[in-house]
Amino acid sequence: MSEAPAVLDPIISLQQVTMQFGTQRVLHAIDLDVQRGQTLGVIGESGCGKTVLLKLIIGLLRPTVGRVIFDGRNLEKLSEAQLTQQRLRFGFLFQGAALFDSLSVYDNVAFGLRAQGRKSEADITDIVRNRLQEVGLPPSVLNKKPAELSGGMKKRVGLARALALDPEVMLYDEPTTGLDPIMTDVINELMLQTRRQRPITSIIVTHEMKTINKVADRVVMFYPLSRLKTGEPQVLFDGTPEQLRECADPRVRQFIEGEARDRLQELARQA
Amino acid sequence: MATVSSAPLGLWQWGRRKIADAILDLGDLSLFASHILAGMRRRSSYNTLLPISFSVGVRSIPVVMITGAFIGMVLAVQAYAEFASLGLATRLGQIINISVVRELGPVLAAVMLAGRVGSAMAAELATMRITEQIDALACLGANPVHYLGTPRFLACVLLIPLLTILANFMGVLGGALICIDVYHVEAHHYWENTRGYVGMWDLMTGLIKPICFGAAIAVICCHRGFYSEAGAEGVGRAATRAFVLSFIAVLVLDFFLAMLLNRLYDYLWPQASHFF
Repeated sequence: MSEAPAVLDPIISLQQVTMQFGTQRVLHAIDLDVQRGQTLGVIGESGCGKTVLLKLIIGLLRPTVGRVIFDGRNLEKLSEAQLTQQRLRFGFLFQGAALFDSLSVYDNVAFGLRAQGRKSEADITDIVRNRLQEVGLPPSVLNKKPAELSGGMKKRVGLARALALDPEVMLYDEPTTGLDPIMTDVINELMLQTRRQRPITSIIVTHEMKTINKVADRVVMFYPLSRLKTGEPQVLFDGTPEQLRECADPRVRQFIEGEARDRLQELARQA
Repeated sequence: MATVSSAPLGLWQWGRRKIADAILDLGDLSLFASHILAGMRRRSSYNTLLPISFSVGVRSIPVVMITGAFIGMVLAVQAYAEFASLGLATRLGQIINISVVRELGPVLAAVMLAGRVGSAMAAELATMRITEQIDALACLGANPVHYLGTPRFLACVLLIPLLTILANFMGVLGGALICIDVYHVEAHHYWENTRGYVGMWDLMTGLIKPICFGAAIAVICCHRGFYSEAGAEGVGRAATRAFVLSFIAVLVLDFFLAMLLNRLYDYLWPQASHFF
């Protein structure tokens, strides 16, 4: 069971954020505050905008409408150089780890440190080895290329790379997707360990209820816009994991229990 | 609520939309090119220049040599009959080599490199896009356009002219091989006519063109890769479009550069001949 952090102030604030790609609207009028030190779980069906949410928070995307505020700064008002500086306060674990194929594990983990240009190569070597040890990888992986690694190892190298810059906020995009149950729990434990070892805010996008129950102290559930009625909010639930388990909304219950119900017929009608 | 439907367009509206899209694409490409050029001021843009140059330059040598050689040989085969029937076989050196150096060498080498180098760059960057490696670069404090686009641009601009020189050399050799050894054209006259008509201006125009072609290939192919659509189909489409657009750009640039350089020559040397 996860621990509730002390509530301070919102480090991240989304204010009436709408995101549209061409004619496809993915997020609509989202208001969401993330408290400093909190571990927020974001759940929802495929296509409801969870990954888009993470990319808006780190400034990889700019909202069509609304504002994304990070530590008091409106990301849209920042120059590219200022945005890059703010991004370095984040660590992002991508869904497929997004390791650089042409670089070794060492060069992948060292990449951000070298881009910053503030540390000597000797210091970088120490940091790389320490981060890899932290995620349970031996020094023998240092010279391997990503193609030589298993899925779980790639995720752990991705986590080491994200942590190498000592971020204040960690973003996890479906960190356990594609992993076996044991490796899934290894990643869950690493997320808990990361939070224990440093004062960090975490946002975890996941489908795994086990991850939510183990790691998150607050859960937000999004619903796909195409399936909402007019005027309904896109955020169906916002509360603790315990409240999520007690939630009576049938759409929330269907998701957390993982039941198809009449969804198959709906999909057949759409096709 | 989530999507906006559009009614079917008439031909006129479709045409207007296509033109508007093309103008937007051109503007987007120009902005992208400006970002690539801005990256030349950053030292980090040069970290990967050497391995990329090896891939663009050294690995292209065999195919460029083959392309050049066969350009010269085919020209010789096609031109010999006509020139020999007029008793002008010894003039073949002039025709083949000026064609190779001024036009066929630069254009066909650029087209071949657009296929080999350009579509590979587009596919590589598109794969990086769909696997979120480009986003990861941005998250780790690097500018993806400077880190990925600028070294590729520099490698193409610096190396495609050198590869064109190689293609030209092989074209000259190939043409000479066929004319002298197969058709038994008098070697002395073959080379004397070449020397008399292929001058520094021809060599220079043959190098200005590949610089422009290299820049166009790099910008177009990197742009297509960066803004690829999702999935394996998106990667394939990016690579194909990169080659097609690069090919068209090479042809269009060749036309306008030929006009510009001819006008420049006439302006600089209004009464001059090709004997230097």
